[in-house]
Amino acid sequence: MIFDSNVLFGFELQYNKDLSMEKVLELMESRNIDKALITNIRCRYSDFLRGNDETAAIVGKYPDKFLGMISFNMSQFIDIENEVDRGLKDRKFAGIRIFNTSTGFISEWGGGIDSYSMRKVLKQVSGTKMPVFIEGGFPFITVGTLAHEFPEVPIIASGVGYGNMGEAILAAQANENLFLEISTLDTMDGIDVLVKYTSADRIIFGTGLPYNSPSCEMLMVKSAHISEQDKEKIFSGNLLGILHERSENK
Amino acid sequence: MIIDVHVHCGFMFFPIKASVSEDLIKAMDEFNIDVGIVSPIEGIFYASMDCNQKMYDSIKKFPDRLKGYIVVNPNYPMEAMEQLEKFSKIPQFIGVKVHPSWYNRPVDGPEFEPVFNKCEELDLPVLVHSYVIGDQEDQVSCPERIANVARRHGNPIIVAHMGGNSGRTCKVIKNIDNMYMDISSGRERASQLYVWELGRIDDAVKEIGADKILFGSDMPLLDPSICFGMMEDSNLSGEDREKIMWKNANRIFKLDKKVY
Repeated sequence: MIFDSNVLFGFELQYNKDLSMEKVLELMESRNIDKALITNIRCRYSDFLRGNDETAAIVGKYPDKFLGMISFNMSQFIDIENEVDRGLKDRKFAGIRIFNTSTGFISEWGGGIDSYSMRKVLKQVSGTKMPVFIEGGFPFITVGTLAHEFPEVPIIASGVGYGNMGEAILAAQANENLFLEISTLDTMDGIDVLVKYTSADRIIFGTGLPYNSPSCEMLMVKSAHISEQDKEKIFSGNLLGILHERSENK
Repeated sequence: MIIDVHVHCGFMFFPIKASVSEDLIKAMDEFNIDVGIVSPIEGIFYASMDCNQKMYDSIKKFPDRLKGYIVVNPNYPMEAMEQLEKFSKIPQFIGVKVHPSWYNRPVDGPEFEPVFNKCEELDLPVLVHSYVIGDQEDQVSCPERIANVARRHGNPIIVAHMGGNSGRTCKVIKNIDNMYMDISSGRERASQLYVWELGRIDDAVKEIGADKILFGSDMPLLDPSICFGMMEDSNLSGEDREKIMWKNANRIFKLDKKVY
């Protein structure tokens, strides 16, 4: 089974790109991706209330294929608590997705995820086992610090690549609740190195489709010099484990 | 047949296991890569004058599988000429690699001109590192500057990494016969919000045709899975795919004459 932790859909504001559900479904079908965590891309560009509605609608339409990740622009402030609460109560949502720099407030105004707003969100979900997916673009020292402050929150961090692999490994070693998502991983033997220094239990498969070529990361896992059991954990087992713990807490 | 035109050999300051020729051959076997054209990391990042000799000592064990780029540093013009003269006489060296950003010299500037003159005289293709992000960074080896060089010379000039911003690079190389680009790091559209993008090879083939695009992995810095994944996710004809995977490199590097 292949479970993609990082799929987007919707209307792309900044350039002409087909992010339709038809495209997403075609890519998943042709690459044998069985299930995905999905977020509407509107959430990146501030219109997160509508974006979350659209995510919920898609999950309602394809309940066996998708689970939603609720998202928001933290500069809105007054609606965030409600949206997090909605994510906690509505079974269409499995977790929270934090977008990176382009949401304005997060990095440019508020000091990135190292902010009061981020801590407020993590405090709200602490104890619920709701996973929080953090896009790449934030330093792993910050991601690791948050994981340390909120040890009951499973944090899935994207963004590991050849330049910051050491930081990602050290952050994961220091925090058992930190998982590394691989959609940006490009380093040769990168999966081997991550597994060796963190363990296969901490690596989560993700593609970033339909922006990214899904076959890149699929090939990276398939060609890694690790056991088939470890590949299974990366492709789906670890994420299923996180989601199972969350469902037990609902 | 697969020819990888962008391979490195040597130690890198990242957590990467592979560094010697045997590692490369093992990885090439795993990905069914027949020939890799290799440049010594030492010459690019560590300013080592004996990098070409060291690499040759390593790759000469695999003359049919590993070919070499001569790496030269334009900041040391006499040594650069000596290296070009010496190693161009060895059949296993079939091209030249330059990294203008790391040498802090514009690729179309006076420091590089003797190097390109010599490469043209020797009829050696030149692979030029190029990775532009917007209008500010890394302009010393932006595709427009590389085009200035290509217009002045007749030998093949290859823009590495699709120039970072492949749309910009395609516009530049479209009408210059001796300019090409390799797809290493090519899933990154450096100028865009989401930098890794599906469809870039398809877009490039539509813009400039498959004859000007070469398969390159940038291993062992990058995993070959990235470029194989990009190719797998493209919607190319069988003929265009063959051109990119090996036919273009075979023609440009005259591998028919030198290998088979």
